[in-house]
Amino acid sequence: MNKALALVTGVTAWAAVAVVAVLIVFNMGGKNQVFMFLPILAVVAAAWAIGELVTERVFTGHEKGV
Amino acid sequence: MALLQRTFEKRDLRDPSLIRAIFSNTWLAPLWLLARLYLGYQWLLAGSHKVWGEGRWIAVGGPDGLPLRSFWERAIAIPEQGRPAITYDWYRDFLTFMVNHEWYRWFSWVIALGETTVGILLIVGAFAGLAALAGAFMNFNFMLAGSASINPVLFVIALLILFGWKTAGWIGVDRWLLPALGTPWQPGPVFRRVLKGRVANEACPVCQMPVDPARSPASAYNGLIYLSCCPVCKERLDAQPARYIVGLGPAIPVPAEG
Repeated sequence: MNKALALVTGVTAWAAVAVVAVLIVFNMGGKNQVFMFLPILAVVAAAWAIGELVTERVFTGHEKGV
Repeated sequence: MALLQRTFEKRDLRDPSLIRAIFSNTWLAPLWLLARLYLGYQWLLAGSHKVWGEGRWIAVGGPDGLPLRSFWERAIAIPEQGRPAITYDWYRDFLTFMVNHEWYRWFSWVIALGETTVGILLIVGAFAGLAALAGAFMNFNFMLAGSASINPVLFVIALLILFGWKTAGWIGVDRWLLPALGTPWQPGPVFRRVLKGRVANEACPVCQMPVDPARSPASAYNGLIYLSCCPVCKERLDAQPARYIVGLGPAIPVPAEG
């Protein structure tokens, strides 16, 4: 997988987190905080896994930390 | 003079290992993720009520921000008995000025979109430190206006995330964003590409070894990028830039190296 595709995959995964979080909170926010929180945590975990398995693996050797 | 020199001498005071483990080590990234998600969720929820639904603050039929005007008017009111909501007169004057000039019309947009943006940035972990700082600033203002609610709790969480800005977004976009952008004192690859024509040296200023424009540690002085061959040389350069960069300023006298 080339770097551009890996980058697009990573960006898409985290953009999906933002979209899902907004949809959940805007449509069901305030009803039950636990039920709102868990799906957001789940999509964050999925985006993190995609980042680890796809983006991080392709972009090996990048500078860690700031 | 010697007293002033000794007082303002450059000293690097290191944090204890426990503090570094909490705020600068990625092993606690899952804990920071939970704090970040909770804070982000609260801000997104608060913002959603202001931009969406029946009671929204903005994009309504009439003038925007009427609920904000009501909030400000309640805050600046001085009751005949008991204590007013606002303790500081300068803050009451500030809110009164905004009410009188109908600033609630555009300020409601700032608050509604600001809260929503802070919530999204915290949830995805992009610029988590800056987002936490913006959130803390909003909490601070709500508290100054006499509104306690959950603001003190959110304020403390935001401050903790602010202290842990380097690792708070590790499980998030910051993991790639921060190293790519770097900092003003250590530009990352993105800024190096933008500032490619402003790299000032081809050899390390400290040891004269060749540098690699793509990978060598970078420092920024006087609007120019200076590349060092290794982190050790970069540390020496940053400690005494005037010693290694000609024309940067008066050289700082240092003892000869062994």
